[in-house]
Amino acid sequence: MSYRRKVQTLLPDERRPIEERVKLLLKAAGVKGPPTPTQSIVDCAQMVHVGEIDLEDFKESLVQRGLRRLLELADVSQLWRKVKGFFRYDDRVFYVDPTLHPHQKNHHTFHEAYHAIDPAHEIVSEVIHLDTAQTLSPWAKRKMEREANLGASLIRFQVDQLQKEARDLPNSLETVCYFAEKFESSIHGALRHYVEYHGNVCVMLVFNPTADVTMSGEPYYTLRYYLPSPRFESCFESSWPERLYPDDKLFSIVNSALPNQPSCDEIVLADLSGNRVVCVAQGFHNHYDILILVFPKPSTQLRKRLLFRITTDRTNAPTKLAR
Amino acid sequence: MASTLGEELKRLRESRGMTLRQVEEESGISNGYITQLENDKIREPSPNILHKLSLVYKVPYEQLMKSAGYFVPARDKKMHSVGSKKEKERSLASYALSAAKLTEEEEEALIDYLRFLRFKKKKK
Repeated sequence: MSYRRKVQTLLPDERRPIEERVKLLLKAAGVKGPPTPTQSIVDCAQMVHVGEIDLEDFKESLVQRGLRRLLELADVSQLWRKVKGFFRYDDRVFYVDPTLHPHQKNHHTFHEAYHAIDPAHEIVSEVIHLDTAQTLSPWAKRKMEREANLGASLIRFQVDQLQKEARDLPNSLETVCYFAEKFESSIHGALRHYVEYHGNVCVMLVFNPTADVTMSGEPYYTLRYYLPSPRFESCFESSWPERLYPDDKLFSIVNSALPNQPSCDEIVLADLSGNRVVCVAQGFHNHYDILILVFPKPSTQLRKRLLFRITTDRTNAPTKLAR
Repeated sequence: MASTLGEELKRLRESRGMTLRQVEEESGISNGYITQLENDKIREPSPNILHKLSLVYKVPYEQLMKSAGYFVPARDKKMHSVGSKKEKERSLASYALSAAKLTEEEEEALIDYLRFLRFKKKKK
């Protein structure tokens, strides 16, 4: 059986300068609480929005400049579908694909804003710009993108604001959906930040949205990635099989998480001492992935209860039903 | 034999007579992380960490990036047919760009478009 490796995250020492820089940005932007105002962040990061890309204008300019060859070589419209966003340091221009969902647009804007405020990223860009004999190695590019993604998440969730607000709320997918709405984020983004930053014992599993079938006709779900909270890692062995088959109890939870119909059941995990721990597994289908949150079944009732039922529409925005 | 990033960082620290604790105090980076860097246990060091260490050791940040393997030789590609020398040399890697994998032709068209946008902006 093959096991999926944990998604790579930054080490605490690598996160600290990003958190400090984002705190300064939020302070300069006068952010007082959720949601984070996108325009204030853009203004404070001194970025200039390039607006819509006028492809017809560009195609005409290529023809006028005798560069028809480029038009023939690359389908310009297809090309721009691949580009989600960019930031150029010298004139501080940024672009974000206007066809994206508002949550994704905000994520890419915050992502570019983080690139814009990080001097370590800017110097790398300058070196590449001045010395064309060398380019950025793939791992260095991935590392910088990972930092900008974390920066975007910290801008969106205002560093430790979610942690502060989550203190008295139950460890559950309903809590995550409540925060997704409050911080105007996707449920996927909120869940990831919740698991990464909240001090609870929990793990997030992300499966492909549909089941595949083996040669012998047995259905299975493929685990795309998983992310344990730091406390989960200190209590449980953290390795999950890449394929989930019907003989695993988790399969039925993943299988019954349909759009607009979250699923929930109990599973038993062995902790590092070999004890069996009853855990709650909640599933949510967001049309792109199946998200699962697993956490130990609480033995005591929390002071506050959150009555917040999970539903979703096609925009992936959680809908509040009752509080 | 070329020294590794870890060897270089250790040499820089010792030549300045600094202890791990002193570097931790000046940079805000834990001595555990610095030790792992010096022992080449961290294979993909963060740009922010290298930037901080370059300030503490007073060496160019670029020097540490090179030792860490941040840069690789660029592919030998034909340059574009228009634009100034500087413009011709511009590479996509100098942009913070979120995109799926691009083909060489797409990369060339994208560089041209970004140049076109700049030209239009200047004209305004």
